[in-house]
Amino acid sequence: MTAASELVLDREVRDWVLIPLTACVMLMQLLRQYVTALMAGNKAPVDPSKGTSEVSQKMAVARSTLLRANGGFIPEPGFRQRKQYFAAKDTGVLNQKIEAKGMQEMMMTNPDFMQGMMKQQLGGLLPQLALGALVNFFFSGFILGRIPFALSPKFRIMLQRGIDLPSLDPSYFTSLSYYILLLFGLRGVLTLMFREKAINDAQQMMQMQQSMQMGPMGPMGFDAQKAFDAEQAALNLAEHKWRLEGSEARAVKVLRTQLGGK
Amino acid sequence: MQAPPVPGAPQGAPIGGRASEALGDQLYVPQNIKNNYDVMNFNKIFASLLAGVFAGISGITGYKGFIVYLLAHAIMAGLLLLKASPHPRRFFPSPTTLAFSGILSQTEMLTFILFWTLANNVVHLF
Repeated sequence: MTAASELVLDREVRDWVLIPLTACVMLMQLLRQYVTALMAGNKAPVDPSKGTSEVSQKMAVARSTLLRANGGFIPEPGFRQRKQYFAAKDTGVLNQKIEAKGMQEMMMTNPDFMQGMMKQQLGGLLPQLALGALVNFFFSGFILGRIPFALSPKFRIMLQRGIDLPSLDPSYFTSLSYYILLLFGLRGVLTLMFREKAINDAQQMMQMQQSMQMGPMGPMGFDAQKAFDAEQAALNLAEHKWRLEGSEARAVKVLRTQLGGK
Repeated sequence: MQAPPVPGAPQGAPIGGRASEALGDQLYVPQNIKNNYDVMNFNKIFASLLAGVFAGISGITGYKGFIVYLLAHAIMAGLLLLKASPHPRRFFPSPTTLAFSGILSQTEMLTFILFWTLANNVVHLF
């Protein structure tokens, strides 16, 4: 590359903008991570006096699903026994009357849900926006650095807001675009530090969109009655297919191929 | 809130298959698969980071940097295969996930570009 197309940038810019900006965004992400962990930890855990029933209901549904899926691996009497345990007329687990959750309990779970989402949104977006505004205010109007590979002129709009030099290489970027690059790039580093607990904005956005699309279902958490009814209907339809039935025929086939080849 | 994950549900076996069918493929435990994927992603992000710093410090620019990126991923995949060596199939559903997953993923690519830019600028540009 000819020297004419390379800018020489002031060392002060590096010392006072590039490195501090990187450190700031890094610290902000760490702060966000710990603050969300703290706020989530403050929520009251499942109240043991009334919480265990919900857990045991969920477990019952899970066991029944497992039974339907894997019923073929246990002998027929075993399958019938388990089916009886779940779906019998009066004594089956799935037929237990669920005490309808009073409106009060609904209200208790309801605001938690709303609060949780709002806290998520606020905690997630606000520091980023605030820092972005700060960066724009303090560090605008100069080139911060250079991306090490050549870019097409279309990138100039993205990378060089506020600078009107059409002859400048589009690889040079301003502070705001570097800030955004940092936000995206540090996601990987956060994953390194926090494994799966790292806050992932893009993923959260997609998840929220999906849950919005599914329509405003009542935020009722786990609706035990409906789940039980559905499970019971499915269990009544389930038949036992003994998977080991054809094992002699299969063994003959396998042995034939093994021994016949010799 | 979802129902808790059903532990150990077989994913290779069809539900109630015909009696003459084979008993199904291996059983996959979802938590173990997830753990394996997490470990692999961790290592690949780390490899991208190191590749970025290496490319930046050595002043590589242009498309050669991406060759460094691919090389780093290949070396990392080789090391992971070495670690999983007796039966790589025991760890991942498909044998090619170790080598090829995550090379073009947004997270790793952006990590690489960020650190490449940072290292290049700090060392060479100022």
